[in-house]
Amino acid sequence: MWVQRTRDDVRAIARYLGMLVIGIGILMAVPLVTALLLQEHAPALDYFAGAGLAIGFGSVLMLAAPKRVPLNASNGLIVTALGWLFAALFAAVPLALSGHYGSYLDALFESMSSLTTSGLTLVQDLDHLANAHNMWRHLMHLVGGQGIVVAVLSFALAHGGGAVSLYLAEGRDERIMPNVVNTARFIWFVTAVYVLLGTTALSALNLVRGMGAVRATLHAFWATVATFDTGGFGPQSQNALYYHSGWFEWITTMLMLAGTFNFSLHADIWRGDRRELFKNTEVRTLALNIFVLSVLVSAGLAATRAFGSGLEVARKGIYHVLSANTGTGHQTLYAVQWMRDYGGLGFVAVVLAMAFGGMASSTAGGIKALRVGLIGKGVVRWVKAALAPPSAVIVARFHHMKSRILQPEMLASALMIATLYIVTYVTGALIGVACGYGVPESVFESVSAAANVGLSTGITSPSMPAALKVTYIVQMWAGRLEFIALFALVAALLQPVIGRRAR
Amino acid sequence: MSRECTAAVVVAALLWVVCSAPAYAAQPVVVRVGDIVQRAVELDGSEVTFEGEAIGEALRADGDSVWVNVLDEGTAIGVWMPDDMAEQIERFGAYRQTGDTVRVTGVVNLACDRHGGDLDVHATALEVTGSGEPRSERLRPLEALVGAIGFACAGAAALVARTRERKRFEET
Repeated sequence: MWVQRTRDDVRAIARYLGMLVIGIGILMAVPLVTALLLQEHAPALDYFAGAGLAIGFGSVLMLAAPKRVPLNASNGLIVTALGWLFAALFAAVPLALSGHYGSYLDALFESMSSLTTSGLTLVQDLDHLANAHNMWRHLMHLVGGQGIVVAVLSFALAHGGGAVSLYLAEGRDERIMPNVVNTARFIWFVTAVYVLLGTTALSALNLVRGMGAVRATLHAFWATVATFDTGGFGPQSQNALYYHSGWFEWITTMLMLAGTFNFSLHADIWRGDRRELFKNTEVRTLALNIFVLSVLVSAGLAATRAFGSGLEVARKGIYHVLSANTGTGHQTLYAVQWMRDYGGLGFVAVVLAMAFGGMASSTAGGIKALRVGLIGKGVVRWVKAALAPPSAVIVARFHHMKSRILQPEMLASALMIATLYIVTYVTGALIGVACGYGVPESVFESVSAAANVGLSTGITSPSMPAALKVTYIVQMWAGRLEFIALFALVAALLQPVIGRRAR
Repeated sequence: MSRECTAAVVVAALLWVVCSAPAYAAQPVVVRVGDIVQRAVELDGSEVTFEGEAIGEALRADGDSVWVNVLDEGTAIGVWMPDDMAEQIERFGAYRQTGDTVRVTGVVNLACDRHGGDLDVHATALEVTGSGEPRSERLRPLEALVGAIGFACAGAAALVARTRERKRFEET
């Protein structure tokens, strides 16, 4: 049965959307202040215009319904799906005004990539981009990484209705604290701790290496945010390669791992309970994943005979597998090198790492380690059942916050989401091939977009066809929301047609 | 041996020396930075010369050396050089300025053993061929107007919302 959406439903959706858009406008105060402090006058005007548009539009949209209007779960899904799109549409305005993007579509690509913590970029002349614009690009990683809705829950909806619906609709199902608002605030607390630690460590490194104090701190903050939130943007066109530093790679490796951890695990660690870390099926799956794929990438890189020592191979291999597995997208190789110099086994292993992704309820993307683990356990149970006598009852157990029995519906859900990701990966790759690119690089780029990773073989550039830009935007959006909210939106848009036929 | 014969041998020897080692063979290949990245395998270990804009800053490396990143047509590459070589560079490219244009001669490393397997260039010579310049900002007053209209709309919407709330409160 299809839900009939009433006029009141539409008004409630509009009100919450307006709230999210205003949130984006208010957030633009940060790059605006950055621009004013650093005397970047043209970018300051870009953010004044962007903030005015967002706050004006959002305020008018909020008039659609009165305060404290309830929001049911179904409408929560619509608000979440549209919220991410509207946020990207308005966040793109100052970027489009910056003059560093070929078109508004390119700026929209950038804002969607940034909010979904993908990290693919269409910026031009990044090395001369204003600090204010870099602040905005990285701030979007921060807000998108925690979840736009989580951000609003934390600050705007503390006393309002609809919090639970929106929280669940954004693909988060962990209840770390007794209620979702406190859970959202805990997520921000964990993030603040890591951002502070990362910024301090990288600032010290940058200062030692000769950067000015302001630039050292800004670069450190941006790198920390881009890494912990598994985004992958950088303020320089060479990305992580700009720094030429083993220390930089080591600190960002720690931040990547922290960023891909489930926030419930962070809560356990925070409470001093480290047992979960060793028992959790998701942690074990991710560890196995990273180990096997690091070995494969390293073997692939070693086979090219380009590297002089095993240490170099391991450093490159582990860094890129972690970057791909956690969905960060930092790279210390040039994009074209993946295809031209280091193709083969290493290339395939990185694609697999991107496709599998990090942990659920973290800032990472992809299929997620928990689902991969459950599917693996499901396969083992299936084989055991096939070999066992007909009267035997075979159960599979897994540990995720508590010991559980793998139920058929859990396995079905994991398989369904994994299948949707694979269909999205293949669809994007087919469109890439249709646009004239080779099969391997089209697969790589499509997986990178849908799994919100950001590694690139070089397809993603301002000169790529508009159809492919739109495809990757949709892939990044769908991948971040894990499809359900997006399907609910499509169903709601088609509901007048489908509903009429059903009657 | 006759005098003619000796002269012929000397001329032949001179010709051999000149022709077998032409002056241009020792010259480094002149390339673009994009070429280094695209043809890294082919250029690995060879000496090249390229020109580009010094960007960011000189980042301290090991001992008395620094990293200078050089940008050319949208592609940048890290150049490892001694401290004193980098001191010639006065301006580094950023938002406010373009950096000095530098002509670098150095050896390409596809996967540098000394620097963690990165693709880089170890400089043997550097020459500043052009000075960087301040970059000007272009202010667009229309943006201020758009922003002001947006904030005015927000103010008007807030007033309408407040009036509605008051009316609703009075009715209940």
